[in-house]
Amino acid sequence: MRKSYFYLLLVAIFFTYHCDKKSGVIIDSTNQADCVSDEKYFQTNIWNPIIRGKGCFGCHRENGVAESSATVDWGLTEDLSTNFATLKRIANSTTGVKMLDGRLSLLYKATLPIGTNVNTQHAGGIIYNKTSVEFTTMQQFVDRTNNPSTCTSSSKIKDVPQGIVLAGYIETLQKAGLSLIGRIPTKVEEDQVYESGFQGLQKVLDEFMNEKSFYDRLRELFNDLILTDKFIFSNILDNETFVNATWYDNLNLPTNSRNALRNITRLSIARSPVELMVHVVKNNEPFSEIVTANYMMVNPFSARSYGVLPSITIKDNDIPSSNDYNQNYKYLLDNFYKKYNPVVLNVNNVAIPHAGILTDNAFLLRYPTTRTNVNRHRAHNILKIFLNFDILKEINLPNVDLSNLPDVNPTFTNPACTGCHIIMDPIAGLFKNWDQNALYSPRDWFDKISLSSNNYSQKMRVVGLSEFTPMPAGYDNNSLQWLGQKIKSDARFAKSITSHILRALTGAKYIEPGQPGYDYQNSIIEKYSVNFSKSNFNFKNLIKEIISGPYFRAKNVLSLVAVNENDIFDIGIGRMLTPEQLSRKIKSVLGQNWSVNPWDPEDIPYLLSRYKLLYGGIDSNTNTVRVSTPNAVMANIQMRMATSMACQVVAKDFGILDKNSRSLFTFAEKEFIPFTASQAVAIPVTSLEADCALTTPTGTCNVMNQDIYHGNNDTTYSSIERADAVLQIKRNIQHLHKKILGEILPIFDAEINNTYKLWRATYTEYALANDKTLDSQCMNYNRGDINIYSDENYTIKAWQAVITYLLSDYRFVFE
Amino acid sequence: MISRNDFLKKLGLGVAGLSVGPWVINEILKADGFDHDNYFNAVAPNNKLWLAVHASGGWDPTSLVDPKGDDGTSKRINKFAISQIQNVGPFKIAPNAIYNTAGNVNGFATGAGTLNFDFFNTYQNNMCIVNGIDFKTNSHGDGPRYIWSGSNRVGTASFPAIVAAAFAPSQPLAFMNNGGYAETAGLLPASQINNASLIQEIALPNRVAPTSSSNLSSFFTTKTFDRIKRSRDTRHANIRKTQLLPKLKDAMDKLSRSRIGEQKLQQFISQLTAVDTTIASLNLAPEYLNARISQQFRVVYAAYKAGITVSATLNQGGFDTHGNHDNRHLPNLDNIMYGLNFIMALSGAEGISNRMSIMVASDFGRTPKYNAGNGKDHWPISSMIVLNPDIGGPKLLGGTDSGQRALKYGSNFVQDNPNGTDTTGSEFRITDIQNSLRKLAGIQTFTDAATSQDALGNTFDLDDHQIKADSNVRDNLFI
Repeated sequence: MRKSYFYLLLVAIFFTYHCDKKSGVIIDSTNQADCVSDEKYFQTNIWNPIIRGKGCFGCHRENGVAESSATVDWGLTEDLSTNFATLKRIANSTTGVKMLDGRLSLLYKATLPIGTNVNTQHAGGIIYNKTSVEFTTMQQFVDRTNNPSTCTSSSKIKDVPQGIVLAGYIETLQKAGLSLIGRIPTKVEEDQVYESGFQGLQKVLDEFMNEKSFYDRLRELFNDLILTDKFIFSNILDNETFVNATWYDNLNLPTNSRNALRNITRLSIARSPVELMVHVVKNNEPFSEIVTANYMMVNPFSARSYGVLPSITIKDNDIPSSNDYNQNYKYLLDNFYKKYNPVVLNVNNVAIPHAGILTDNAFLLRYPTTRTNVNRHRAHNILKIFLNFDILKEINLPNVDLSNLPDVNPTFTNPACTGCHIIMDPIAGLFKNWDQNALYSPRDWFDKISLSSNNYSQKMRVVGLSEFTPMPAGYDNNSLQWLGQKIKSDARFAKSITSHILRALTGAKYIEPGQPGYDYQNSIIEKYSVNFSKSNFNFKNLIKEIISGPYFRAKNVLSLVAVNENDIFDIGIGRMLTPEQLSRKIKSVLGQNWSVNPWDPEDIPYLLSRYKLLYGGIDSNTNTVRVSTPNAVMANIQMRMATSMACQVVAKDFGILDKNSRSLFTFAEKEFIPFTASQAVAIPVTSLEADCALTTPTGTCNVMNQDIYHGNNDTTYSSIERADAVLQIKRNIQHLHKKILGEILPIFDAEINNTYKLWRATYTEYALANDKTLDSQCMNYNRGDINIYSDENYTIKAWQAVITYLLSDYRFVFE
Repeated sequence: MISRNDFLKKLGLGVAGLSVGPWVINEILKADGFDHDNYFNAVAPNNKLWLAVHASGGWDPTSLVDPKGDDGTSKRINKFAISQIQNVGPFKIAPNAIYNTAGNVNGFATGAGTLNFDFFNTYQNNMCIVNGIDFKTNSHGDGPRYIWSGSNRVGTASFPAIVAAAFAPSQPLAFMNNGGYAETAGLLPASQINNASLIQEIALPNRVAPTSSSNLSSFFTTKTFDRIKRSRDTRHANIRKTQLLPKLKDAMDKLSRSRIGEQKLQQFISQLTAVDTTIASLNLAPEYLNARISQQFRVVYAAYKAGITVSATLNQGGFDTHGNHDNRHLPNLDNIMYGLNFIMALSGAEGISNRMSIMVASDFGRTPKYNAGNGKDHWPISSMIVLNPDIGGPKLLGGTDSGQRALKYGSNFVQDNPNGTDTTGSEFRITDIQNSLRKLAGIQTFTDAATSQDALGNTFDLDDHQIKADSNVRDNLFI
């Protein structure tokens, strides 16, 4: 056994069974054979590279234009096992159209020119030629169906891949706390999990999900999905229809009152769909209500714009009139903003048939339409957001000249267009009562358009979930309510929401079928989504299942165990924290924001303002995808945050005399030093910084033994270092590793020693230079018990170095 | 040892797989005399600044480089007169609009002294215009990806990302993204700097007041600051050694790479000041300075001069004009032209305009007629402008008929029978464009598959970014 494996195994076992006794290590030494089964060959070589990659799936799919072509029934679906069986059947069919040398159509059809003669032409034109790699690959597949391989694929995927080391329940709790509510768990919460293991974890997670900050996190997650925050600074209501849209302009308010009121009203209207999702979760309603609710959410501000009266209103004399805009805005935010309530809107004496966020003003305008687009953009996003189907990903561009199509109405008749349009046009038709301005009209919008130009309704497909699931009679005026019900009962809805939340919480990537990691990820999403659906769309259950599962908890894999590389390809989190998450973590761990005025708890953190986009955040408008790969700018932001925060918090914490009341320095005092400045003179600084312990666990240094202190009975420390001081400093370092990085390390761990070395070298450098200066930002005055203006013991700088080191660590800025 | 040429060939066939290792590329380039540490000063033929200018939303080439003019019918493509179209070398260039005080189009300019004519006249010798490119799509989701990557598959790396990964992958701002299609496919990080002044704050993480000229104090001595970073990196490397989950290994590696250029941002800050001095000396009108791509270029150019940037996307939006086309679309085209002039003026003032390699394109084109709302809808035939001194311009390739349909061309780019009966040739395709751009950059596609290892031992496949195309693909459009 190699040494490194031995240590890895020891560490893994130690943490699993000692630090967190109720979690397990899954070890399975079953070897994976190299032999490739027919199904695996299909998944890897046929499905993604050819069937999807060459665009076959666009037409030969269930409900596609070539679902049934000539004498061959295709009907490909999203289920690869079914598709494997389908292609095997086609390849083995004796009734299929035979080509040239007697081979069946599966192999040769795609080599034929465009046309409708089933024997000599292919309606989709030439997809590959006979000298191509694709042809050879397909030929091998056909050969395999005639001479099936004896190799087998593992049909059952384990819930936790073999060899995976999971985070223990307490460690999981810490990660969940930071992820869901932006704080580290309390001692009481940790004790609950320590005592009750899995059950305790579930209980504390339930408690987390009742906290206010959980719903702030949900607002981010949900906005990432529908991006309606684009409008938080815009007036999106049609002023002619909603005559009170800008009601704040009619009150003759001072500018700073009016502006505060204007901006919070805009925020309130834009957030309506996100607040509906929050409302559904908070009240433990089935999550499907987000597309079926026959109401919309208004708060006191948006209610006045919409002209409705909710149960809680804001009266004119509630409006603050300070000259301070920020003060006014904060007052309104704190006292009224979150008082959202469901209402049914009545516009011009017409009751709006609400269908959750589908009919929400902000949602409809976020996915706008035009006279020529006729709601296809909306349909594309309905499919993508709620039905787990991204047309742009799933269907390749057809290889035809779109500018030379002979058809009068090619979206109906030309195979180059129908692959996509047959999927999205029926759903587009369901938006027929909602126009470009997101206004409802019982009258068919297509008919309205036809008054001035072409008769679009005659050019559109049948209205419904698909051509094969048309909308029944009786829903002409409330077609989106029908759509909401269909989405709810469609298995793809649960899968879509599950996929989004899994990706949002764990950074799981989108993996194409046939690619490494797909099978495992798909099995997990399938399992979670089925449970989500069975629980009547209980959103909190879904969160708990993800948190408790391997995607969230995987932290390593045992090297001694043969693992299935495909299964472990994408699990674990390993994602840079978003600006919002990092900001909350800083405040939770250090007790204050990183901001212009860090002493003001209401001050907006840098990461949510000036650095938000630089640090990969989104504005829901032009920047809609979070940047999760760090770049040099982000690395510098992390380092600047670390130096600034370390400067601010060290003297501040030492300014509190009672160690039990401190956050960071619960063991060390600033007077605790291992040796004096005069003693340090005798030690070469280069020796103090030697990296012996970093290279080998038992490395030695020229001057001092690296294993300075191993416990009360161990005196193998340098002759000049005071054991009592070293112990307290190391205990504090141990505390900081847990508090800042979530690492539970024994006092003799090499990491503790390494951090101590950094402390000691920094202390020595400043002591030798007799440098006691502190920048004003790093002092403590008028806070706590004592003022600290200088570094009399040279330890403030040493602790600043340690805090900077830990705050810039991978485990602080990543999750 | 692999030669630089061999290496570049391999880059052409992929530049790298999903986990390319910048260290390997650095070492190879260095070994062949390519000064990777400062891309701008590198003694190599390909140290140009590659700029992918995207007209977001689908621009109208008939209003710029493929004009038709008003034929007097109800199906007219343009509202300017055919006589107002000007010949510039082989090019036909549309006139600029004249606006009234309300900002609406109120006629078109004729003759010299106009923005469009002057620009193409001045820079035609370094220019190639390709008209009649068939985008195969009318979708905003597909078009930008297709034109800038050469593939319609989601997740394919964009050309500017590939160029950056080829020449200076570990420079901190090797690829700067200002919008448009900027997929990197994991080759390297894309940096988005929307506010350059903020960079000054973060470029000096050890300075207490980084933007102050009077307070120069630091949080730590340089020695301590270096010690902190060294300790951090050592711990990181130790943990990385024992981490075996692929996703976590990849995440740790990416963080390591991002830290390589931490200190180089300081060079960028000093260049930004120098660039602003040059800009001030040009005395340009506000239209030039305020154009969106001018402002984006200012930051990109400073980073390029600092030796830390190879390529960038520049982006001007507002081209998706389904209604009120001329009034909304033409000002945005003007902005693109102001911006291009700014780029050439600024780099020209410093004697390096011949190092600018600019590509201008869009999602697709717009319909060859006005709709009922006076707008123009999506149309798959469009154009690209390429500005690069190696091209040997002026060069006009491709074309469209009176109905804005792509014409076909045979070998040597000779047009097929103009009546359209000869179909032995083909229209210019995006795969032609992308292969030719790779050849222009010296990273042409290559047919061998190859694997290599990065400094951390990750194996990657260099074949991942090859342009998949049939044997008829053209690669000689530009050189």
